[in-house]
Amino acid sequence: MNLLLSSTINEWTKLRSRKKTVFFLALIALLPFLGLPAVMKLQGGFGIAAIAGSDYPITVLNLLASFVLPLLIFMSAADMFSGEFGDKTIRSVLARPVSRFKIFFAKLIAAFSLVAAGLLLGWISSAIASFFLPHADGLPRALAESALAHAVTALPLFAICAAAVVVAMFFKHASGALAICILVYAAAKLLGFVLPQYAAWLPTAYMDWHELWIGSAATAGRIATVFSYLLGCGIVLSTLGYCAFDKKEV
Amino acid sequence: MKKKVMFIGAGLTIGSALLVTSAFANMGGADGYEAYKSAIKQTASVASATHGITLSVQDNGNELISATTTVKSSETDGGVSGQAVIRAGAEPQTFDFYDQAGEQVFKAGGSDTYYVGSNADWSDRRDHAPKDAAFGKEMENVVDALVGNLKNQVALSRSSDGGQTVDLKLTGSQIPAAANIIGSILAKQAMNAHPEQAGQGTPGSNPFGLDVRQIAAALPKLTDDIKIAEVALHAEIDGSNYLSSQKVDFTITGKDASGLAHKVVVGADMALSNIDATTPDRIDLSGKKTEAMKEWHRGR
Repeated sequence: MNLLLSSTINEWTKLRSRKKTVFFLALIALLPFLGLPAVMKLQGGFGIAAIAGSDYPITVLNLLASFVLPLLIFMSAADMFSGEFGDKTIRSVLARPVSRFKIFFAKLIAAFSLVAAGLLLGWISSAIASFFLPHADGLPRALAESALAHAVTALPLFAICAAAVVVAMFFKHASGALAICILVYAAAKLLGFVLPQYAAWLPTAYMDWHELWIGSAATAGRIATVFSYLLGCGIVLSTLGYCAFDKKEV
Repeated sequence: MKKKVMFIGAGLTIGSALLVTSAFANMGGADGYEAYKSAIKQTASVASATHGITLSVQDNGNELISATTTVKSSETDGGVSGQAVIRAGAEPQTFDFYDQAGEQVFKAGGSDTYYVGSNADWSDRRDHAPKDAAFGKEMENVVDALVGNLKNQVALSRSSDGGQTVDLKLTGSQIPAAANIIGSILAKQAMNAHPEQAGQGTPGSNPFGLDVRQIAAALPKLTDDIKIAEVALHAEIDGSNYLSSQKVDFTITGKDASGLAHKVVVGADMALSNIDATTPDRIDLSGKKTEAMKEWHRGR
């Protein structure tokens, strides 16, 4: 267990020392404030408050969960897997007396904790930004709801994370893996508009499943179904990713 | 080595078990949405029915406007008849209308004049409307795409007598931002319409005796912080898959010029009865005071 922990810290340090990771986290922290003037101007001009302060964190979350965070995931997965295999730096990791099992999950956990950090940062900064918008109703309840929404969004992001790792295992260069991840993701999102009945079977259709959790008419059964689907996806994909990682020749 | 195989086996087994569970729970099919859609199609195919429609506007819990309409329609003899009662302010306004044998007849409760329009265009258009199945399917796909993920929000519950209940409730951020912005602007426009524009001339000159000014004046004038706070749909589907009743409520919040907060609820309540057993009322115009309606249109 100690080996897994120290390997995770090791992977996390590598991620953190990349400039682009810091850039992405800074972007997530700034995004709610960048969007603020546009929302205020639009609404002030018409006298409407379509996006009230209490809804703002969720509006930002929709943007983060469908674009920014998946991009961060694809980038990290491409660097941690394809990139390290491509430039052979994986050798120095594998040379340590740590099993491939632990190295694989240390990487997966590190990538996922980066996403979790992004979600937390996004929630804090959009919650602060929401104070600058007109409030329709109770802010404490809205903040609690948006915290729940951010927390449950971690699950579809975990499934996307595992899927990105599987894709990255097929590539020897980070750029190729990144490009294919983005293409596949965009295609899956597009499928949602063209053939929604088939897209419902892809994890990408549930990036906004937090809508089911907060004050909607959705039943507990529906939430349980989507939960078991996303968890199942995450488990199967990470197992497949591990199989590929274990067999990969260096 | 053994541990590794066990882990992979366990991961794949548990993961696939979870996936299969969700497949059996019909995750891909939005069953509430599908049930609602199928009931709408079934209901649209009825030959005759009596529709009771109530539209109401409430402001902070006080009823401002209510319009109750009863419409009897039958496709077999092509007739429609109905009564409407509109309450906005003190005096209720009543209003009768008939569509019989290619002519439309309107009468306001306060007058004894029947306005008759022989607007053949209407009937023609309705009779020859293309009932193209392929076109209908295309439109259905377009609507499905526009509804998108919202269809997952439609909850379905079954009652013991074979009926179904469909519920949809969207609050705040669940309403797509674009729809909320457009809806808020439309709501603002509707509430701040100038009476001179809405009501045509003086109340007395209105041919139907329908005082639009009275209705427009009853609405609160929201000017700031207008937003659509909630959209709720509740529909009852009976055992024969007809939409026996449905209710749609839009909650709009905002402030008027004096800074007073308003919560306006615009609701529509629709009920269906006497399916395939409705005969529209007919009116015999002989000996009654009538006026041609086309002239009124031209005169404007």
